Amino acid sequence: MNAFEEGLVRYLNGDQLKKIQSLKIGIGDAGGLGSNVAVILTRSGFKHFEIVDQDVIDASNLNRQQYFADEIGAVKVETLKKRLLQINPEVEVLVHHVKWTPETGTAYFHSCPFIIEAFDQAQWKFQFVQYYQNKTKWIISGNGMARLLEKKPMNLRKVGNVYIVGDHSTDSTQGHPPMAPRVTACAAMMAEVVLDLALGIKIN
Amino acid sequence: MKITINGQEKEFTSSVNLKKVIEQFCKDSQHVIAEVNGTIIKSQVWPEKNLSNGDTVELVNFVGGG
Repeated sequence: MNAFEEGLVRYLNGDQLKKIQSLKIGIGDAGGLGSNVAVILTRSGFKHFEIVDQDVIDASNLNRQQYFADEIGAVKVETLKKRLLQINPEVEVLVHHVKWTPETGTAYFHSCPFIIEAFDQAQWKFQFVQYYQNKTKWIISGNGMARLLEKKPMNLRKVGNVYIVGDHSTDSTQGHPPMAPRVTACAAMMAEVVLDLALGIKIN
Repeated sequence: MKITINGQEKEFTSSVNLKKVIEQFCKDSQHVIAEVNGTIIKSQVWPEKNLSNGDTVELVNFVGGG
């Protein structure tokens, strides 16, 4: 047990940590939702991840994503892997620096009971969820978390085996900026769903 | 015929399929995920999925942001 895990067992019992550490998390896209969910789940004890993202870090990502100014231009998945290893040096992260498409979907997320949908465009969110919904146990998705004015409350909805967090209506492509407070809040709610399901905690 | 859509009971005077309901209740049906009585119904079969009295439908329309 490393120092991180020694700290974590002050809050979780051995059985809980063992359960969490046995589960692999798949993440589609390593932007505002994906990078924050990955960091929160690593801090919660999860140590097996598979992450797919095609991007490099842009200055416009720094307002909400888990990257720093001196990392602009670096590959997101490689940088996120480094970030997770900074939290838990024994975390195992399989990364793919590619664009996810339904045509290549079968190559990823084998043996992942949890798959996180963290894309930023509606068409990819829809395609990703539709593709994996009958290939995994649970999908956790973020939907509508970009707004400065006239904010709508975010909630959790369940459709089949898909848990969807957000206000379900605010579209970032319609002039609503994705800012850190709501994007991070949405990611935290998504991570909480994963933790609850992993530990068998009833979700209301 | 009464169908519960996203938690609200709606009255329909004639038979209706899932595609018609989605067109009526979603601004844009392109990125909608639909569940009927707990089961996700893929978009390809919405027109053939006839709804019955007492059915529960959940619809989520994906929007951009992340």
